[in-house]
Amino acid sequence: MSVPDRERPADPDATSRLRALVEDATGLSGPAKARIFDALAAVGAEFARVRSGLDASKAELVAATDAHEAFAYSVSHDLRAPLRAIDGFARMLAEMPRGEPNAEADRFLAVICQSAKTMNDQLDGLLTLSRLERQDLRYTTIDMTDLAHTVVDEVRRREPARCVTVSLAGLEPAFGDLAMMRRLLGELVANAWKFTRSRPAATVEIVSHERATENVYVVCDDGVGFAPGAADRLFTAFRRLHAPAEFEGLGVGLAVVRTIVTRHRGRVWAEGEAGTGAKFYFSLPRLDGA
Amino acid sequence: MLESKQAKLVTILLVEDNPADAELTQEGLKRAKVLNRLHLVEDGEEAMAFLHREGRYADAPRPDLVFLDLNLPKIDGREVLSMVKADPELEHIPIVVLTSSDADVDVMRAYKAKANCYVKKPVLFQEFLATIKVIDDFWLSVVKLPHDPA
Repeated sequence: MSVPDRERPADPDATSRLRALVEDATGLSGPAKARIFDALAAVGAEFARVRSGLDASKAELVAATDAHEAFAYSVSHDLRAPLRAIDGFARMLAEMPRGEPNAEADRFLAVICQSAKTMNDQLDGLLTLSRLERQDLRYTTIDMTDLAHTVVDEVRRREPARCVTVSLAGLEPAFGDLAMMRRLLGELVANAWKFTRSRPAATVEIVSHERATENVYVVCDDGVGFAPGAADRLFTAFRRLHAPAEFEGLGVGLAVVRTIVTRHRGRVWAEGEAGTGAKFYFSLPRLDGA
Repeated sequence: MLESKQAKLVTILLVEDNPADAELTQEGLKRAKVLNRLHLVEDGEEAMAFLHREGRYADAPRPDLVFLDLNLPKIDGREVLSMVKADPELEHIPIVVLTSSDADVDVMRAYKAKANCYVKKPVLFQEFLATIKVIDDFWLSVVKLPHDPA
């Protein structure tokens, strides 16, 4: 959905026409004229500042509308699947004769309980996304190299038996909310860990590139990857590219990544190839480029 | 119940990643009492392999009807639909999109990709059974399906 564009086209001559008007009307000269022109320039700069703030608010509004629509889609689609299983298997159970031990009945009960758990997990996931959407950002300058090391150490401790070589150094600093950046890197590193699980010795690389107005960070792994056509679906909540039997999970991690990056006015994208690995990119506006 | 006019056993390919939904659909077909042979695949990649008779599906029959979920692992159901309908060998096979989504964008996109019909899976079991039965009666008894010599 798009926001209707009500902006008038910019008029670069407005300031000079205003100057001419002031000169004509007042006949001022010398220091008084200079002061008025300075004041006019200040008004012009303030106007530009307000306008760029409005542009940013508009971008945020569009992002929030997209997030709202994705949320509504999840509630109407994804949460119905476990509910359908609960009603269906409960009804089939109710049709069964009572009293005797029955393996089929036990299986139906297990499906019902599992479905209730799935639905509860999905609701938790939606709640997490909705909190990240609303939470205030506390901007600070963040040493991304330090933060990435901390996050990698945490993930490593959770799976000490895994053999993963991590290469990371000299990442560009970021300007953002520390807790959210930690969560963002945590999700991407955990993701890389998970999808390299089949490799006896896996490699994860974190690098960054400095560009004119933004810094781009990349988390690369040599795991199972994904079909290039599937890249768009990765960041949508509950969309999973693998069957639960292959890789567990709810499909919320990368949706968290997208939410955090979007809130920081950055972009996320991914490149992959089935069988050879994946690259997850995110960009953040540079503090001196904004 | 309508009387089955199909002379032979109909072959249905069910493309469904959610095991509970797959079982409920099978239960619905069983209760609808239409004779059918149901094949289940769990993602879009498997569905295409089945339809192209590749790998372990080398001996797979050509289905008379496909029940297709939209949100699938690997190749998405939307892509499966487009690929089947763009394939001269497969385009004649009727595809019933069977999904939880009732998003307008999904419905429109499915019909534009030449889905033969779009059905939203009801949440409640009795409605679900009734829906499967209506689909069955219509596609397997009322409708005359193309005869595939392959």
